[in-house]
Amino acid sequence: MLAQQIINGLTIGSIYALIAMGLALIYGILRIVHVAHAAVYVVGAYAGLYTYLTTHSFILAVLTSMVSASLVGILIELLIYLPLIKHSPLISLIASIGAFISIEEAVRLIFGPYIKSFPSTLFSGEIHLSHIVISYAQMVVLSISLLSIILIWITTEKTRFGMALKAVSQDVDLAEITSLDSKKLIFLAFAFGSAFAGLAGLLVGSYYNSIYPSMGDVPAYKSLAIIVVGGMSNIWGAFWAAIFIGLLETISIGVFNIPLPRDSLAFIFMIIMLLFKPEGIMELFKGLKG
Amino acid sequence: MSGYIITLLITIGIYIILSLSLNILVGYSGQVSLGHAAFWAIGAYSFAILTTRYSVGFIEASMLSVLITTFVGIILGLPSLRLSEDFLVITTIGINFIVEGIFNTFNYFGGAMGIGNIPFPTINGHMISNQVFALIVYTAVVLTIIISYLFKLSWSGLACSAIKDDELAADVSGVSVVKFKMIAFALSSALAGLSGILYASFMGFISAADFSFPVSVTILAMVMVGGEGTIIGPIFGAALLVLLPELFRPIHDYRMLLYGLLIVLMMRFQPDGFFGRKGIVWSLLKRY
Repeated sequence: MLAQQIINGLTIGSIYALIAMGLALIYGILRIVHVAHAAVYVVGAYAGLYTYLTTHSFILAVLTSMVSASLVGILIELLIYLPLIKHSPLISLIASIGAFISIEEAVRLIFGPYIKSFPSTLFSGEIHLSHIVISYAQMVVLSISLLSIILIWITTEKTRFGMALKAVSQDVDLAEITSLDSKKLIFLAFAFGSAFAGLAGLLVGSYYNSIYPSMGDVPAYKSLAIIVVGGMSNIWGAFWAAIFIGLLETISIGVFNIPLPRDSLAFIFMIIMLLFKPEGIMELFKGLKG
Repeated sequence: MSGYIITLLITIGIYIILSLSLNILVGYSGQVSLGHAAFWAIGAYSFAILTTRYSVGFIEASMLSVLITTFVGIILGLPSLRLSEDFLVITTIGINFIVEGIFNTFNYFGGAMGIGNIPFPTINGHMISNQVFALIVYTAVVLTIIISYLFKLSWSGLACSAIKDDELAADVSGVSVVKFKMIAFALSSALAGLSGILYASFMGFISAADFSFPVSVTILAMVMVGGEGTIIGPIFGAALLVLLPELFRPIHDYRMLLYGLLIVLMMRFQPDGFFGRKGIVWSLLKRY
């Protein structure tokens, strides 16, 4: 029972991680609470689904969902955030919520309000390991997110682009002095972060086998709780927080039957964290090491 | 006046109180809350439970509900005191989700079924007409405007605006940041509670979904579109954002799309709101 819930929790946690890491990356650079990130996720899911339905290739679906999500992310950045950069972040936040509402509504008007699903032949079947059941869908989700997280790790930690991003997120002015083009970097960061949000949309869609216009509502706000737990602009904090909250949700509901609404658990945990460790989950690890 | 117009006026009045109450937090003391619907909900639910479960009278229940909302507001405000802008926004979103979840889950609060049969005010055993109710609502609106105005001019209001401008500087000058933030939180939730009472009584039925997160977004949008920190701004914003969906009714399918786009465009081209410092209204007035 517990082992099964751990597998389920890891699956959902790794999808949360894909959304939250991009959000933390964008927050680190622009200091904007990018709620419309979840709209990017919905667009990615729809783009992937329709590509799969026409080409029957899951790899192509993954690619189109990532590309279309980056495009939407870039458009949001160019049309809304950049012009508002001198105003208080609150104004960008409200504009972001407005953008989220209108993109979701546009998706609903174009593709219809009903739940759409993949053909049933995609990832049917499961493996039994003594008591644990792992479905093919779970394996696909786990392996793709593992690959993506390795890719994010290499990009942010090992490349010049990643170093430049770190520099800009620490101090924009100083980075500009050392001849970094911060506009271009913000642009690339949006493309990069949004691509993985789009991928997460496709993965959630194929895992639950349902895609619908309002699927972004819950991730939109839960991912905010996750990045707070992770320490706001800390990408790896967001990763650990996402995995932890995925496990917390599935275990407390699945094993202990806690009578609280599932989607508010992340926020309850967030408030507890804010009271005791407002610096984020990574400080907790440092405490363990020390 | 037709019943439709009266209903619309009452709704606008209830939202004016609500947006003015949020304005005390956002506009006067610089604490941004995206969970204001939670405080509205607490007012409405305490009134509904007091009247339906414990058959407390209308006026007593109203007073108690305002007290309860203020008290809960202070408690929920406590974790927010140490938080800076973005953390505060996200925490208040969390408070909204948690409060809505609790009302939606536990049977004491009616669960998913909500609470019905909430009493409408009566005189000598007769239910008052909607016109009289509108009068009550607008009396409350006037009261809220007076309270907002007095608060802005009061010592606490001045301290809050110092905190809003520069928290560190205010702290160094001997302004007790915690105390005045708390006062703003308490006053704001008291007024939100007042609005919740009127809402619950007017609707006769409430459920957790009436106070969900999108409502908080709408309330904050009312304050921002009108212009935070002013009194006319939130009044105008509330009237505008209640009327817009009504005007969009013939194009029902595109309603939310237009609503979202309007918020984006508004923030993009009028970031201070219509009545804010750099808003379109003052600049037009100055020209003539």
